[in-house]
Amino acid sequence: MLPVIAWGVGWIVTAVIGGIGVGLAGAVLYQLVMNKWKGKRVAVLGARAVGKTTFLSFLTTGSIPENYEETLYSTECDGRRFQLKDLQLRIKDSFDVGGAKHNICEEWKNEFIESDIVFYLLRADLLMNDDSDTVNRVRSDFNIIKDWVDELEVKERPTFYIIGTHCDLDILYSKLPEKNKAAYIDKFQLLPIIVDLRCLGGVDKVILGSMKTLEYTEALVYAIFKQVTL
Amino acid sequence: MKNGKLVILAQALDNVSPDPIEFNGKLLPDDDDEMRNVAASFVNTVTRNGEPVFDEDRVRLTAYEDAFVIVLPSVERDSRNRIAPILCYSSYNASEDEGFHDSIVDSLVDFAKKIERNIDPMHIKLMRESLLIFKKKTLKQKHTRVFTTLGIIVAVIVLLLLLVCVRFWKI
Repeated sequence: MLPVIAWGVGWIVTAVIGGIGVGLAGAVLYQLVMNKWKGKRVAVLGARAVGKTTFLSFLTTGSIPENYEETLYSTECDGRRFQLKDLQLRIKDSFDVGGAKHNICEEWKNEFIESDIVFYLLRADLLMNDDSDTVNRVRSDFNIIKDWVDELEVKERPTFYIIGTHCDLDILYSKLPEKNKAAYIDKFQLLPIIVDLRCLGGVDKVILGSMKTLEYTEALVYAIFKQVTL
Repeated sequence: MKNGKLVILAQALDNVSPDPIEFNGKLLPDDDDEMRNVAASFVNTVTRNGEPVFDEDRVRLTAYEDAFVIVLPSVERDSRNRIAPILCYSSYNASEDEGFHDSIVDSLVDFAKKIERNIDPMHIKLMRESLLIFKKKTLKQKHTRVFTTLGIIVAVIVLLLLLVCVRFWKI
């Protein structure tokens, strides 16, 4: 009788453990599917008037604002399934944050830590012309961002992109034929500030373009998303 | 404002200089990062958690509990030709109701003068209107809370009395 009871208990224990295992595996799989379905949360950071609102507006609505207004406070933008040509990416609800320095400490940090992908926008035209205000601001931002990167575990760190905007305002860039634009990008990548930023670690890609018109914005975002969705 | 906090800020028109921020009537120095962050934190608490109460002709009021953030455009545009608004954070206290509108509007107009900006009188009118709507909404919420609490207290007392009566009747 005793061996039968032991055999029965053994089976019950095995079944319970097996059940828990299957349940856990199911939960993990469900989470993976949910994460894929929910999509990516993006953070768009950068100094004042670099194009953060235009960029986020394009990602979340497919259009660029007609009437520009300075972003003085954080505004929520609804997520959506972003589709451009052959690329698509599901974007979660995100916040459009202001570029003023007093927003960095709290608002930027929140966005940085919560996001899967961070786009840091900067004025490429001004950096190429060695504008000291822009260089100082970018350097100061990155010193702060570096601390946040260090605070996070490697797997928690968002993918980090530097997006150089306003290239159309640089005569050097606008005069170049499309096939020769790579030379401009190479020159940009060799700027001391960009080399320094890459040395700080965490920067995954540097992409340049313009958001002067919807067409330019589409081209820039397409170039970015070709990298993101790879 | 007698006791409440009052933050008024704008973005520098050249997008390079430090932004002018006023905290309880005092213009914060450019290097006072601590107070600037505190001021920004007040604003962001409302804009992140609050609900829009008024939005007309770019005059917007967002409220969170008894605090609010109001944004209204100035006549001037920034170096990128963008609309350059002025933002005001404060809270409403029913016990200091007298002069609530005037105090907020005067402070904002004074700030605009200090930083050499102009505000369209139409926007001032809309600002007053939005503050009135916010005040009514806050009072209504407060009254609802008071009456709900009173209702619960009365219901509990009645229930207790009933229990006592039933027990007394049984005995």
